[in-house]
Amino acid sequence: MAPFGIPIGVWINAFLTICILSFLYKDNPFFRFAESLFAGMSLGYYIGIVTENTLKPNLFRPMINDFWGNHNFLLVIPMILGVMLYFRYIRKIAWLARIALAVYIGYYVGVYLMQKLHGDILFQARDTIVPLTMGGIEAVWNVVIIVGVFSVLVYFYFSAEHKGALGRVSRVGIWFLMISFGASFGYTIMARISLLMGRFSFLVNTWVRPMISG
Amino acid sequence: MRRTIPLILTFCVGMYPIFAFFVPHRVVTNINQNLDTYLVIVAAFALPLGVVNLVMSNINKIKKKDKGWFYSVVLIAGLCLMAFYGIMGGDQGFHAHFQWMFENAVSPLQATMFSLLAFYVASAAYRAFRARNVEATVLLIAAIVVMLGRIPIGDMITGGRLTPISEWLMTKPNAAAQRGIIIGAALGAASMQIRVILGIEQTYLGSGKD
Amino acid sequence: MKIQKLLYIDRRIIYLLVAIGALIPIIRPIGLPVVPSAPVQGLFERVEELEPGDAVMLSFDYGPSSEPELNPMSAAIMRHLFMREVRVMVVAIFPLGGVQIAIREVARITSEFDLEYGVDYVNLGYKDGGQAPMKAMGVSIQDVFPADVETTPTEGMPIVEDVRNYGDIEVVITLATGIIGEWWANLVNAQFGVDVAVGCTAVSAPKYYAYLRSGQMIQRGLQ
Repeated sequence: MAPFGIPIGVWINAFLTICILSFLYKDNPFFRFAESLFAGMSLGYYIGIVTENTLKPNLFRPMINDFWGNHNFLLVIPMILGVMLYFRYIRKIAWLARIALAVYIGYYVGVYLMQKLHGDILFQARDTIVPLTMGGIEAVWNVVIIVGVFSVLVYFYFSAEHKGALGRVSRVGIWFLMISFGASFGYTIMARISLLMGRFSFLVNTWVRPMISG
Repeated sequence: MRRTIPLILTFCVGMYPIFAFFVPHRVVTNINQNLDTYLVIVAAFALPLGVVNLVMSNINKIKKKDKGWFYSVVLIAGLCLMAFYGIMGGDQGFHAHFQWMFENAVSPLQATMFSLLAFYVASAAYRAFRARNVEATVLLIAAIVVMLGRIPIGDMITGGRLTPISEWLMTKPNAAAQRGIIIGAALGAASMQIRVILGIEQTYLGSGKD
Repeated sequence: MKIQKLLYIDRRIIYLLVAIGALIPIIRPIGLPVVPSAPVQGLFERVEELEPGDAVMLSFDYGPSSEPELNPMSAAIMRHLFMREVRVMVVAIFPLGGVQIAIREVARITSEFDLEYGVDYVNLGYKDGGQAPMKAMGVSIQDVFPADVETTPTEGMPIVEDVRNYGDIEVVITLATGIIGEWWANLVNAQFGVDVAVGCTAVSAPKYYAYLRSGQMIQRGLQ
């Protein structure tokens, strides 16, 4: 089916795009329809990829094809833990969900702790605390980096009132932060406009132009 | 008991990746690898947890014929349709209808929803983005320099003079500030994670006393 | 007084101006030159250093909301890698659309080259859990991806048999939205030492300059 020579998928695509954009004028039933569809389909999509790309290849197929081989029987453990998470909806055994949750949270907390301490703090600190022996302008820029990092950290130190020397250093931190927020703001505007242009490009080049040119 | 066992489990499972990080012995690494691959599966079960809540609340809304119940029908219908083809799968990976619905419904809906932000950010900037004090002026100048220094038309207007300034702003003061934020946030996150591992922070287990 | 009035004009007029500004270059393209920035040049040179047969992991960690920004990057990077005869392993860690975009974009770009699936490139699909699969791939990619996106078992697939973990990978390139880009840096680069390049959305770019300076990332930014 292709009204005006345009595939039906493109029509649906364009219709849903306009439904969402209509919110800019004011809230309306078309927008709310598209919004609800978005929420529902996104969750359905999520269930789909979880099943197709994780549960089937990593859990169901190994267990069905060769339960005892390759230690596949051990996959029962994560399966039980996963199912136990849903016990929270059954009042009598809801507490069992905590066991699965404890494993889930415990694991990610442990991984994330190392990720932050090792991957963030150590690497960032190592690159900040550098000898200023390289000379030339690079040494000056390294001083800028050191001053920036230190003053921003002082600004985020809330255990003492920002008065006197502490206040002056934290004020320098604010200046660094403002430059960074300004840069972030500039980048954000460019990014958002590029997203809008992506949608307009679809409407103009994929939907309207082929319709006009027949 | 119903609280103590989960807390002990959190401690043991939380400490293991840390232990494995410092002790890269073959046996330790093997167990850690199993933990990683098992958690891929547990995460697959965990992440759609919210779907249950959403479905129940929308079904209740439909049953009671609450205001806007029709939109709940749309939500459930969209969810069922997408999930059905997703779970069913095709001969080779995803079902063709699943891919089609993604391209023609999920994709435009998500992309357009985010593109609305272009209008809001422009409108907000128009009303609020003024040089009220020194800090706001610094922010304003940094934003303009970065924007003009990053786009081709900015190069044309300024003869390419803003590009090195913009690059300097990004690689020096901006990187320094972001580094401060990263270190500060990492310290905060790490302290919270230590609290969870040690069982001081227990809110994730719910508020029940048993 | 007039300035005050200008400040309180109807928001829809601002929206209209934004829409017109965005529409003009689409209806009538201006054709401005795109100049690569220093970090982009850095990644280009890193890819140029790769030898034919080297392996690169390409992670599609973005959804439809970031396609206008990241699709051109993914296309440019894939073309460059395939021109250099580098083997490419495609994965997706971002849940909302990454794998579907990977299926479409990989098919589009690979059709321009004479490549053999499973030997020159493979699309392993999406995996849940964020850090869990990222960490597990440090020991065995096949443990995490026992099948590819088309449900074909990866066992016996030349590229998967040959590229066992990050140790066999020259560079991990992620096209990332949100926090996933920094996970590749502060987890995978930090713990496994593999080079990480991030093609990110402009929103994340300012933060990633810190990782760029510390050598945890090769590339980032719009352009």
